[in-house]
Amino acid sequence: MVVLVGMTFTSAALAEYPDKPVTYVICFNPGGESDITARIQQQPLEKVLGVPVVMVYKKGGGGAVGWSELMRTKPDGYTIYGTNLPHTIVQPMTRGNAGYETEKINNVYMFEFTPDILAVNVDSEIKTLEDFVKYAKANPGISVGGSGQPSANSLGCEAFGKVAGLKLTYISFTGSGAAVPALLGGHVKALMTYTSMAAQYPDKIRALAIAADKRAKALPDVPTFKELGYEFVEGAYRGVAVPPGTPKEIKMKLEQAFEKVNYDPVVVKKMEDLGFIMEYYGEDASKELVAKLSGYYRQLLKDLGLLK
Amino acid sequence: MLEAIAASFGHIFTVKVILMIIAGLFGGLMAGALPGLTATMAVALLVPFTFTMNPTEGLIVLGAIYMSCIYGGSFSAILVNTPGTPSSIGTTFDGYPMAKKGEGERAVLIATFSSAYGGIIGVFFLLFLSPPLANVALKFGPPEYFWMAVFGITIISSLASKNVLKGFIGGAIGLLISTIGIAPIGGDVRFTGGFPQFQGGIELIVALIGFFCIPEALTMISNRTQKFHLTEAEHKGGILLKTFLEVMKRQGNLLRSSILGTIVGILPGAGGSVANLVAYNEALRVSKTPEKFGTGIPDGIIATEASNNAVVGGGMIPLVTLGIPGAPPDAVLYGVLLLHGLRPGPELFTTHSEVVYTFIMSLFVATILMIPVGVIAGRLLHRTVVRLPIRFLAPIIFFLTIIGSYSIRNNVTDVYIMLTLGVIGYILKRLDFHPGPITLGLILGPIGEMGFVQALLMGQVLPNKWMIFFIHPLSWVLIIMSLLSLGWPLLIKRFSKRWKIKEMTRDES
Amino acid sequence: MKADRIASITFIVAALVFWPQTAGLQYNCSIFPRLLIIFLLLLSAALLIQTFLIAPRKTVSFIPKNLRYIIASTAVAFAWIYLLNILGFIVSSVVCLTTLTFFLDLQRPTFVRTLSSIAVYTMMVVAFWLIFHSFLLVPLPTGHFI
Repeated sequence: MVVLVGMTFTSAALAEYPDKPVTYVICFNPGGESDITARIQQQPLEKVLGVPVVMVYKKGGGGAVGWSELMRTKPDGYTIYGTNLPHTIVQPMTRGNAGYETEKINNVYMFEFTPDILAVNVDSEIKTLEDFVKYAKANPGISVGGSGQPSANSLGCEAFGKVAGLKLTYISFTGSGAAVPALLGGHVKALMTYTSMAAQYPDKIRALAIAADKRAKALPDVPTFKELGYEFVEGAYRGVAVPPGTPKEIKMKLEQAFEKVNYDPVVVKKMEDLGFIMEYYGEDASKELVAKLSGYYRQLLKDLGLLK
Repeated sequence: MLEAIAASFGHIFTVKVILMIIAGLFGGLMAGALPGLTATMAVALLVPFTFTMNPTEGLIVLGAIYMSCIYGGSFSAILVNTPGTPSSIGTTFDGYPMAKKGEGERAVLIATFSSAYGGIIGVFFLLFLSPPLANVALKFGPPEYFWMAVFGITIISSLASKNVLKGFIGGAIGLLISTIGIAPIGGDVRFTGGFPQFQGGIELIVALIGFFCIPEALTMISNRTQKFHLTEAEHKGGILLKTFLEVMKRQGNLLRSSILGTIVGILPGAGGSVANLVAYNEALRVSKTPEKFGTGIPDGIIATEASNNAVVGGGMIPLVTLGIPGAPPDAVLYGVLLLHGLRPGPELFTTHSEVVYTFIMSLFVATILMIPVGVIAGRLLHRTVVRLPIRFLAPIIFFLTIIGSYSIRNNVTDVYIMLTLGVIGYILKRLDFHPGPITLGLILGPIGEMGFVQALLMGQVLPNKWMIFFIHPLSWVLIIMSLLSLGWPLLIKRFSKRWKIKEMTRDES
Repeated sequence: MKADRIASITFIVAALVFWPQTAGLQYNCSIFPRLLIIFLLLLSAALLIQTFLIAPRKTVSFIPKNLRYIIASTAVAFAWIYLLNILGFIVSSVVCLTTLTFFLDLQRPTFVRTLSSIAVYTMMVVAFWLIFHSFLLVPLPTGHFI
């Protein structure tokens, strides 16, 4: 009897979810790519959920400060956190105490994938991936810039170096926005960066290859590494997560809301124009994705000697 | 271009837009005056409000907020010795002493006119000289950023001229504190003592509020028997015009500081926080009365406030030409542009020219309107602070510091850190270690370390990787500037002794 | 002078405490802090030596006036932060603001004076709360009360 009453109360409360504003936490700086993708989603999300969506920024430690707070946030569904892969996989593996564990990050939806690209300056004499490989073999230790360390860029650079048998020097910058001027000014020879950079600076950088299974819509002329004979896929995923212990009904509501937003043609167009590739991983699919990638990164980090 | 400019005036001079600009100016002023709210945060907070407007109007409002926020930081710097934004750290050096002498209103007016001047110069360069200047920004690579950080640190020798050793120790402490957290290259966790909250390091704003606000409040409490915090000067009529003319006479300082601010703004990664101190240093160096700096002279305020507002226009130069933000608030503006489908870059000027030109011209209008808005707000604020007894003012300062430090990351840990640093800062201040050099170290630490390690990585292709710091001509320009900046105060002391001896011998004969 | 001596020794000790923590780091992560620690050590040593060489000048005493009030206010401030998440922003702020004003009052505080400060502070704190929480939608600490 008590159980029945309890259940009706909870489902009554849940039936009304959401009835006050939802806070969408971005664990990075305003103006960065995680912010931009969230803002693209903000208005459609408000329409679907029927309540205001408020952005809050908690930067620090490459997102770790925010995600460690996620662990202690109230699981009532009114605070959701943007999450990123491989950050949430790689950080606990390489740091003694990142403040959270990968398995505890409860992703309800993964909405986009940004593959790595290898890019050079548009004026560079390197015109194709083969040119680059030849150049790199002749000049071991050439500088390749990228965003963050460890990140999809840095680990991608190492992975590609292994696959192609090259010695590359990865130079980390705080964000892709800082890496691009370094390439344009000739301070680094190439960038292992994200497709979004090629989409945003089409006349300044030349993408040599894209580290995905198929070509990106925003860059139809850029071949994949696979096509050119290099088994190399790498990139960053973005999703949203809720604190551990959030009720199943709330998680389902959020999952459906984000799925709806992700099919919104306005959102799709804006995202694809900026070079992001839409993905549609629900909660269970996200879990599988994280598990699969965890295995891959664990091995890669072990080989690089970065596992703690 | 001229037709586009003329057309843009039609868009701007409507009642709706002018009211929006004024609203933005007020909001930005208050946000700037509140220690803890930076221009970046103010702009980011108000982005959602612009979703209901068309892109041009949204940008106009955000631009007005940005410009007045940087100016607003001078209010708290002058009235309570606390920079409202990191761009006004230098304004505390001369603004606050002026206020203590009873000339607070004059200081606020000087800041107003200088900010407007700097803002206009910055936007002027944005309008006419964007493409060539943007390319200069690209020449700055990791070695240059490192030497720029070194140059910034050498400024301490002028700032702390009374006790250079303590100044540099403060700088070293600031630099060390900035290394707490995740290393920018390599990603290792440093000095966190096992606490995951420290992975992000100490936030600059938290340290700023802690090192400036709290010691000020504690000093007020220490002086509690002196009922009021500032003395009010005799209110003379005509102070507005008089101060305006006084500021306008200092064209050299105004122009030089504004140009410096524009250049620093163009460099991605360096913003108003660096610009205002560099400009202050230069004004001190070329002044005929360098010893007066820090006692409350107009030149000090003119240098810092003109340069920090010039950063607004300067930071947008790489943004609109290359799509690379020159200062942190520009990153938010970049996001706004992308959201509306306006891709920054050369096509922006051709395909969306009305948006761009309307925005730039609106910055001119906003900067000019900033003057009356600022004078009214500034006078009001000054009168309030002067008339508020310490038993109200000190607790209110504590209140504002709590709000300010909490609103950065919605994290109570930050507030604890702020207060702890505040107590440490107060102790250091009593020991004659001033907060200026410490915050300079905090600001320049990340820039310097990134440049340093990145350059070493770049240098691995060279026979000796340390050579990378010495092969670019631009590096040498910065090295020479650093040496000059370091050695100048010593040279001055030598020369002034010689002058004095000459004077004395002349008097005797 | 004695204060300077204590300060420079404190910094030297702090630097020596930081040094071992750089041991486990990669080269790229440890080189900058290590250089800084060396820099700090040299400067602090120079300051220490300076205290022996230069004749002491009559300077302001290190101990500030009204030390009791400073310590009390700092304690209230720390308590305030602790209470933020327990009593909530508005309640803890009004309580602590009034307490501080009460301490710092030069005259003997009367009932009317205290009440008027409570009233003024409540209005001020609520105004800030409305601007930040309701208008700008910036979260402020919440607790059992508001």
